[in-house]
Amino acid sequence: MRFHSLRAAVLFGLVALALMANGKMPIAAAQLGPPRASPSVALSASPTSAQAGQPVTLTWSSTNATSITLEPSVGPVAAKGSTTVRPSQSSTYTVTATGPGGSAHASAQVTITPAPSPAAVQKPSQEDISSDQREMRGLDEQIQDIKSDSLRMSAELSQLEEKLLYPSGTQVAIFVELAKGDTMRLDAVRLQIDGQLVAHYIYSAKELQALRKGGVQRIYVGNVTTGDHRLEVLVDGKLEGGADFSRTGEFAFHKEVKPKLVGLTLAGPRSGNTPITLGDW
Amino acid sequence: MRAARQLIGLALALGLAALPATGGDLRDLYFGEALYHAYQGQYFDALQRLDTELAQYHVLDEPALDTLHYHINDAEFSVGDFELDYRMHQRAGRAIKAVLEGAVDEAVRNEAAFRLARIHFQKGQFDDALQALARIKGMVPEEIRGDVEFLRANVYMATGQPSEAVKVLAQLKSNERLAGFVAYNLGIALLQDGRPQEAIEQLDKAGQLTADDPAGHAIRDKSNLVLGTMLFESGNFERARQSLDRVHLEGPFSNHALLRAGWAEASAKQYDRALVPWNILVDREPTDAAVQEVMLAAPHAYASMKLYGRAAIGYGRALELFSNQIARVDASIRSIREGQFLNALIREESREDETWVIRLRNLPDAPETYYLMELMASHDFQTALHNYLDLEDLRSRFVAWKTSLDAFDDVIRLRGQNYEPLLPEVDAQFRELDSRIRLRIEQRKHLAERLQAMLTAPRPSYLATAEEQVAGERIAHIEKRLGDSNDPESLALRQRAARLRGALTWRLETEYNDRLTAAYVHLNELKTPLDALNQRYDAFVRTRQAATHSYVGYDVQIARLRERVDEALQRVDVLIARQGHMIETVATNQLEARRERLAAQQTEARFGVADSYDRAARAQSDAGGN
Repeated sequence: MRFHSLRAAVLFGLVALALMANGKMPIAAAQLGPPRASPSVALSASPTSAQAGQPVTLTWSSTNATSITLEPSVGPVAAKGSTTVRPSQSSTYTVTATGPGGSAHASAQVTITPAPSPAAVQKPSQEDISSDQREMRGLDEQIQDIKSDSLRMSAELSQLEEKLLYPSGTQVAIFVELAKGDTMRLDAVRLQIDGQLVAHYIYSAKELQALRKGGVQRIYVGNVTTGDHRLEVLVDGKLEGGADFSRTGEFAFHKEVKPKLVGLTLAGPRSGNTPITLGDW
Repeated sequence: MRAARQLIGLALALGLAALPATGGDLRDLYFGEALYHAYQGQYFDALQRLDTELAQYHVLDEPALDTLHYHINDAEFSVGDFELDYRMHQRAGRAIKAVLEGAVDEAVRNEAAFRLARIHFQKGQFDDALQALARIKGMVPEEIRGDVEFLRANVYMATGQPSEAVKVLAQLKSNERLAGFVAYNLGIALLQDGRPQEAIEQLDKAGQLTADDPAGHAIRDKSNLVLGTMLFESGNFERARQSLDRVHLEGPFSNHALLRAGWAEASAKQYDRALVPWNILVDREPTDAAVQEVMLAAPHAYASMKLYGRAAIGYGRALELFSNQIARVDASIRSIREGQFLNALIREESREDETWVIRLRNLPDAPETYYLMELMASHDFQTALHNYLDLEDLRSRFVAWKTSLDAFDDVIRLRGQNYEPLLPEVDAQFRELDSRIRLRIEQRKHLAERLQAMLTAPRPSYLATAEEQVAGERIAHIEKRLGDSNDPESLALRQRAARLRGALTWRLETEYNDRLTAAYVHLNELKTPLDALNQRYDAFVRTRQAATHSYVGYDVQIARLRERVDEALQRVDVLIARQGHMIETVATNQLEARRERLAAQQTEARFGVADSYDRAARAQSDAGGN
């Protein structure tokens, strides 16, 4: 199709501009015929997928139409505009434009997702290997070697550190984990052994996430004599609504000649679990 | 259409970055600690923790009594996962092989074989991957059943056996979780198998699957783009357009699709229709290759419609854009050569989420990275960037270790200074106490033996009190002095002495059993203080040993470690320099290639402007002449 006149070119430009302003619709909706008296309409939804009840904005524009209807649940609307809907299930919204030259339809699908799911991973397969890539791979092998060596050194160093600083006869290690499925926001944990402050840890979002997934943090390693000791635990956090909470617990543990491992399981006040539980390992 | 062939060559591999394996409740704190590090992306710490735990576990006499025993398979699997995540492909898989060779039940062995196959696949060792997959027999855990077959199909595709891949993928069609991946890969496998018509139909299906997540949308868009490109290349413009129309305008493939959709129209000489997608594209990100191509394509379409004025304006805009972009690329190349790219890379704030490489461009003094997006999306370059960061991380660890070793030396020296003057005196006192303790223990032992003997051979005199013993001795002495004299006075005295002896003997004999019992009670009462004494003794010995162990015997180990750390520091410095140089070279090569293309496009635009003005003038004069 060619532009036969300036008017046609200007009209075309206007339609194209309207389409450009509405960048979220599928290309199908942007494909228009030559500017004639027949109506045209475009519809887009943003976002195109949402959780049930969340707002979704529907935006439409039309030309050469005398009446426009947006279904389901909206009804007659102006020639162009936008509205917000809150669908409870996946829906296809359709706008119908009717004018002297006939009618036109455009649809937009809104998908309702149950909960955010981890995105699948896609990776390209083997591609042609260039000289750059060969060099990259050569270096990669050397880097892997130094990583292996470093891991071995690190293991030896941590054993040496343990022997020198925390010999098994006096070693005590305290671990923190969250009760399974607990959603409280842990802000800080403070530990005192026999009245002495030994640890005050403030959690980053990343660390909290790791605890929620089931990771266990070694919050303190130190030395105590064999015999009975008192451990005081103070937990600060926030509830889901943002309210602060604070819990304390006092426990006794017995240190023998072998290293002592103490596990603290923390639970939010609304979980129904004991806020701080001490486990012997 | 090199781009099209590249696109078609790609199969999608799913689920290769597995999450650490954790089954059930956690029973081992140190395994939990390794997971804690891994969940934060601290794979070095996770690996070090887990390596140490596993090494200790494997030398236990009774591993079944260790808490790690409950997680041992998960732990071995996790080591493999962490090694992959830490980009240690050479090492990855060793721990999993150990599971595979061990006495484990069928489901665990099959999962191990699957994980091993996946590692081989990622390392590009496809034959090994197939061998590992061949070990899967019998019961396969439900949750990995689909993944096993999907991986098998991927390996077949990678090893040039598309017909085998087709068979496997056809069986997987009903798997909802993998639906998009299976549909797309089946299309590609059919194409590789020389069945283009079936491939087209399959990709057509893949391009129309309902998708409710970003990954699903991406696969659908990719299917449509590949299909559209194939149809376009085979001259089927109408169907190509239909397929490209389905690509979502928001997705990562949209620019490409808009460009191709326009070309599908333009090839059918529908220039006005071509301008619809192209006019959307011209206002997008000016660094995108598709946008730059359309800057020339759109005025070309106007020129083809003899709208030379608009064509001239379009070419003028293109010329301006190309000049600006060339200046930007030049600035980027300069900036990279000055080391700004690597500086930006190692800044903490640039690594907050997965899109960090793209966001580098927003940092002050960072070069334009948009031109490197394609490069950065490639697996090898991503690995190279991450490796660079890993090397920086190792470097800072080595420096910290050196400081630690110095601190250890200090600790040892101070401990030596503290203990050495004290210990000789402590040892002397201990030796004296030790002999006294031993004497007492010996005495108690002797008493116990005597009491034991008296049970079978009663010796009442042994239980006489000190007073009674003195009395007995005095009676004996009197008796001796009295002698055998028969004078009446002596006789009376002898009888008195005999009565006294009789009374003493009577008391010893009649009270013997009570006295023996009391002696036993007293002996037993000694046990408590003696046990306490023994405990104190052991505690002292331990403390004394600990005192020596706290500063003796480390010199060789620390000296050796210091040597190794120094050597590693030198190696890592060299590797950082080489890796950094390599990254900079690859990046500048990429930018130079883009610059060359931009310069060619600039020339084309310049010619287009002149040509359009010429034609417009000619058209005007023709019109005037008429």
